[in-house]
Amino acid sequence: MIAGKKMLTKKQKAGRFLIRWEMLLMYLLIVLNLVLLIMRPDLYLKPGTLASMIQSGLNICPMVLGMSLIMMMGDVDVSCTANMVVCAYATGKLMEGGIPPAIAVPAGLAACIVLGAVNGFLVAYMGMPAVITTIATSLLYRGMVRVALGTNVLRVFPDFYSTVMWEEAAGIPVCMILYLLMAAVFVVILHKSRYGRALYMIGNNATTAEYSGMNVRKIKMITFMIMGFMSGLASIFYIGRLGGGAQSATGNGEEMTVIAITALGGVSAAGGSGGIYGPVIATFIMAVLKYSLSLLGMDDNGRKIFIGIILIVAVIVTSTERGIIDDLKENMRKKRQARYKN
Amino acid sequence: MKHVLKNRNLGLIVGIVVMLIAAWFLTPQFYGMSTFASMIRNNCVYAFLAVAEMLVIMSGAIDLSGPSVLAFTACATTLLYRNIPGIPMSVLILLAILMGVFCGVLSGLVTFYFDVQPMIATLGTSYIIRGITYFMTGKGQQMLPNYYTEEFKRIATGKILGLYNIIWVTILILILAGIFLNYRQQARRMLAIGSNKESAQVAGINVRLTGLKGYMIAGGICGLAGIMYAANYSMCLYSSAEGFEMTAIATCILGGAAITGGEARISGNILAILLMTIITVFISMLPGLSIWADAIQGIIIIAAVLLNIFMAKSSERNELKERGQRM
Repeated sequence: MIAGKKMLTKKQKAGRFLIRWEMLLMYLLIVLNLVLLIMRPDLYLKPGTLASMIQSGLNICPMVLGMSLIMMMGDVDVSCTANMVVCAYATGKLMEGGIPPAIAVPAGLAACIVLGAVNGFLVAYMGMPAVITTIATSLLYRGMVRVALGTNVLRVFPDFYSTVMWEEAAGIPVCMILYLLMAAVFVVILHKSRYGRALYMIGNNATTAEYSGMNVRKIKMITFMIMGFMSGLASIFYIGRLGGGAQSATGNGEEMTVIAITALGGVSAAGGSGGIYGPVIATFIMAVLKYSLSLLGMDDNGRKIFIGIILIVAVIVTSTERGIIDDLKENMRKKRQARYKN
Repeated sequence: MKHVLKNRNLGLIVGIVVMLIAAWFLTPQFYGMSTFASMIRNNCVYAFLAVAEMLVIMSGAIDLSGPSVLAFTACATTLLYRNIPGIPMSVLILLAILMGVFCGVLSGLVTFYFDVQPMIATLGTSYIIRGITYFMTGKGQQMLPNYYTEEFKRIATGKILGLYNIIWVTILILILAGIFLNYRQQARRMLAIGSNKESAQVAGINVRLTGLKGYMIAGGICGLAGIMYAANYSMCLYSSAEGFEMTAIATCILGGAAITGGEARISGNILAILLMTIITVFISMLPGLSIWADAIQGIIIIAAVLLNIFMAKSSERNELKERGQRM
């Protein structure tokens, strides 16, 4: 047993589990659903509402998983939606040229991995701050698509794009099944593998990680490449939801939503804490919120206020959560000591 | 000669000269007096944002909310002007600055008092401010040119000694920023918390208050930029200047400010603003190249940051070498 760590009773363990951030998110999700159910029971109980709510909220979900890994290291990737557009462009252009989806889709994904590698190279090997790098590359990538595409719209995309986002299998939206499968893979990557441990360590202290024999640069590079791949996958979801149309401005600004969801999910922006479960639950929270707000007549711009507030509150709460509890304990201890003295 | 080569502004000066020579051959219309004046006038607003950004970056934080504050004050002052007839211009300008300061307080509180990562914090505040602007303007209604009278426009487009007011104000801001940076204790403190928070704390500097003040000053400048924007273009929108935070950051880094904080030079910043202005105008004049603007900007930012890193490394090495020789 580790010194200084008291063995917890079963009751205490259960108590700890119930106030974990993931569980708090779960309560929030349930409360939001209940509020929606009570406010508009006719709409909520109608078949298809729940499915369409989930489908409209999951259009950026693969990027959330990738961003969780990136933010775990204390970095951030603002260029993910630009990556996504490049993937959509590559796939759409090849499809337009009559090339079958079996080649076009992997080609798009490969392009995204290359772009992710460029980000990773600049951040890991050149020592550029991740924020600036990805801001610049997002301008660059989207700029390249704008040069290539002009004001045109690509309209030819594989059929399965719309299947993913609009169809249901056994009453469950296809995209939700895919998302949960991907999330399962990421849980294994982050929580069960050496690589995942390394990410936590780099996020906590990159120098220590370096001195304990980790190849920090290589791990960063790989993570950015994974992010690129997930952005490529996101293009399937996003373009599918749009109904198959891509132009250079597609998805502009959604990167902030992705960061907001990940931060809400409890992944600290400073790196080194959090998990995959939180961001997954947060994705569904955002989906419900998006739907409820649009019922109130808010469009994308109006929603920004709420996303901003959620972002700040979530980060404040997750970063000070432990601090607040510790402060309380400290105060109690001081009070007790003062009482003894008297 | 050695002294000249060591000057850290050398790269910027060379860049400006190269761009001017390229413009001489490729776009002769660049040198018409009217283009030059309008070029300077239309890019003054961005000079404000770049200076504000520098004041935040040097204390080790980052401000993504500048353009949102600009849009907010631009729309708010327009609405105030329309709804309160006869409001004096001086009051309006003062209100614009105060609104900017208030937004700065918001960002500063979240960043320094709640210890949120500055990027996430100002991302959040920029969303909130832009969202509020959106609702304030009746769900994104544009402020049309006919809302503005000559009196309002004169704030920016009136002329003193043959130069537009907005240019005078920009020069004033740049001079004030230079004085602040070089001669004020507050600026020293901001640089100190930018280079090392812990040592600054140990040295007795109130890190939180100092950081907050930096955000407040930056917010005030962005607020002034807002009313200047509205008066200069005679229109504004909730999405005005969207995306310019990136250019402002790039300008600061080009100008020699370290993104990690603790280093800033006003001379570098002025030259970087000039260079960015010339590049923007130059690109927009070349036929068929304006579509490349974003991509080129991205490349410039990457190149600037890489150059910055290499310069820092080589100067560190030189310093060590000199120290070795002295021993």
